[in-house]
Amino acid sequence: MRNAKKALCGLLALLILALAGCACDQGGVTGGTKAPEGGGQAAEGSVQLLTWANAPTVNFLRALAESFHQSYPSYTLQVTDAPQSEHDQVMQTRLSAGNVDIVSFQQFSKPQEDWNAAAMDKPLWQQYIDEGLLLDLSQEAFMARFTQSAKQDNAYNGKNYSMPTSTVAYNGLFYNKAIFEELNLSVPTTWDAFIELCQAIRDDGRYAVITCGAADQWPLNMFATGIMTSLYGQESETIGQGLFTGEIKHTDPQILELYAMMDQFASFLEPGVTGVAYSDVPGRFASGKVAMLADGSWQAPTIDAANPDFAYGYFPIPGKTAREDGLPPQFGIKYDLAFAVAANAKNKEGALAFLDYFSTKEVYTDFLNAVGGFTPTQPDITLDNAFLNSLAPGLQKPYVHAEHRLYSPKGVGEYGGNGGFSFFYLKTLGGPFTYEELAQRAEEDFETARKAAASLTGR
Amino acid sequence: MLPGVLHYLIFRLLPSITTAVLSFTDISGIPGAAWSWIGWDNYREFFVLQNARDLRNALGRTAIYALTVTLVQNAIALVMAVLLNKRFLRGRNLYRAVYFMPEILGVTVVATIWKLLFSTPTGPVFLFMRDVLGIQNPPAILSSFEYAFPAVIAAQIWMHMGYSLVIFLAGLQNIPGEIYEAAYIDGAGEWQVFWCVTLPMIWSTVTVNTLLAIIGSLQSFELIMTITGGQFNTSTLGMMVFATAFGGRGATAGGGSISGLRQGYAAAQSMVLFAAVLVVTAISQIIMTRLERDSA
Repeated sequence: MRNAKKALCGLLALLILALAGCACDQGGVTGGTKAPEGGGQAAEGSVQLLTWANAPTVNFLRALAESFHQSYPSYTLQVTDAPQSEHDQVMQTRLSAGNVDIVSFQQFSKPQEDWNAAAMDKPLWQQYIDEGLLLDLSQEAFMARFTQSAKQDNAYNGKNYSMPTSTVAYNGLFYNKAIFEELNLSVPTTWDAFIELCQAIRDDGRYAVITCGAADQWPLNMFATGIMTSLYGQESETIGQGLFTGEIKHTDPQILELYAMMDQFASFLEPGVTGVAYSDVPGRFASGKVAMLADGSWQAPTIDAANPDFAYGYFPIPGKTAREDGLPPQFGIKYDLAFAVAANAKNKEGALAFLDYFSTKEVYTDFLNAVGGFTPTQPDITLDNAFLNSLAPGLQKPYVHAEHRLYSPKGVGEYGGNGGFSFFYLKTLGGPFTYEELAQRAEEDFETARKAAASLTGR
Repeated sequence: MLPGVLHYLIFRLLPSITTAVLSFTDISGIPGAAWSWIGWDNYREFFVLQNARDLRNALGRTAIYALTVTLVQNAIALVMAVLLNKRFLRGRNLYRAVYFMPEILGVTVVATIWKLLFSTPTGPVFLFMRDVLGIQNPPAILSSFEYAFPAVIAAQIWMHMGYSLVIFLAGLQNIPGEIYEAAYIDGAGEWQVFWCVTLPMIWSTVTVNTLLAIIGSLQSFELIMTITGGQFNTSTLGMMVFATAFGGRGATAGGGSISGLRQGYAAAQSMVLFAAVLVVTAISQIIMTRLERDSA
């Protein structure tokens, strides 16, 4: 018996040693992402790039590593990706450890400023910059390759801390061209025409009208701000600030109009839409059973992958009336993948060399063509991607998407979530309130949060 | 003894005290960022700034979650343990393994199974409701304000029931067979044997299981995070602590997220959670000890 115990103890000790050995071999695992080889230290000459999991982007960057090495033989690019939900945590961990050179952000928007500081915390990107963790790229030569507006929209304190590689349009609907042709429908240019089109598809009865990955909540709530973008255009900024400060109420007639449009939009979503997972929608749309898909332009490559022969287009949700300047309805955009360099990067020169290489016209064009859902932030880029080119009419005077103009005060109640415009509380989708009641609840929650913030800060 | 004490001091006591201290600071979690002592501000923010209605609801949900999981999980586990302890049952070792399996599968796998089960419009539950029960527009369970929370509770019970069952089985197997024989000779029925012999004999096991379930469910956030992400009125105190510290939805009582990194605030939330666990566990311990003494 004693021998058996000794043998068991010996076996356990061996097992622990073996596991420890395995852990060392793998260089440790952080948030589901393999950390770089060599115990977390960046190898000399290697450039560590972290981004979020997006297959087309990650595949392109990995493929680019070889040509980058050929152009800059002293550097080797190593790309790691983290699931979107874990990306911020992984970035924080790796920035703390100092083992990442290039990190990825989306648009630098909604900073804490004097007018909102009493009821709003700093967003992550602003925290990083204020703490000196990101390098100022303003004076780098490669930044001159990007449009002035792209740099301006992402500047902080007059400086650029990121290289905004692209924009995405996301107040639009993918539509099935075959169904539109069959039902003799055309892309609408006013809200009323859009509603008529939805009604025609419903009356036909063979196809679901609109689907959306609503089970994940954000893909549907994104369309509340999408409709807001189309309805208010550039005014969204003033309205967003007014709603935050209380100068504009959710119950004001002009805002109730938005709620009414949300309610109309919700009434044409397919039955059971709140249970449809975001990951399932490209397949559902490409199967031809649904006429439209509410999603961002970034979804195009996934739809192509689901059914390469599927013919589809993408149009912006129209505003109430046609534009006075004669242009078709314009897209609401945001800046998507933006690269920043860690101030404590072990290989700062290598990181800057990569950004320089990436932003050369040839590589940059290849990137946009390969990824398929992003539109350029450099001037005079000619793409051979038919889908991206089809977006051009709606990108002549695009708006910054209202999602980046809408603020929620700290501690706001659940009805004030998504700026007070959450589809999920609407009776039309099985929630508890009519749109007028939801507007009332949202305003009450905003008011409560404003008062609580004022009582704590004395402002 | 020294290694044990050192382990406790370094890996248990020190982090706990540090968390308590950090809850009075505005530490962000950003490397190198300055932080300062802010007194009770984090606690004031939690209790005053947060929407009172949502906070009440979140605390209520946390209580319902803990109470339901503790009662239902232990009740089912006890019944199953008694059945699986019967010698006449064939293949009982297989059943024990099957009931314990969800515990081994881990949170991610269990969450995936649950999501597939309830997925809309192709999941088996949805199809059953529509095609067998004839419900015209079946609700999307996991994205419904009414049903998502009960579904998450059910997942928690399903996953951890096997663990309670194994502990009950260990307790049951310690009861000498002669006591049962004597009870049956005295003419006791199955029900009387359960109430007058089995339950009093395993009361200490019931206490252990109850306390483990209370503590586990009060702190639990993993299944909520992986199944609903704290949305659709499923955020509990444990979920709020996690989402505040590491980002994502479910950080506020209303299921929303907060801007940036705020680990000082997360520490304050975890101190509130700690206080809740301490109070509930202490009260439960007193009640269970009293019941044990009475039954003895």
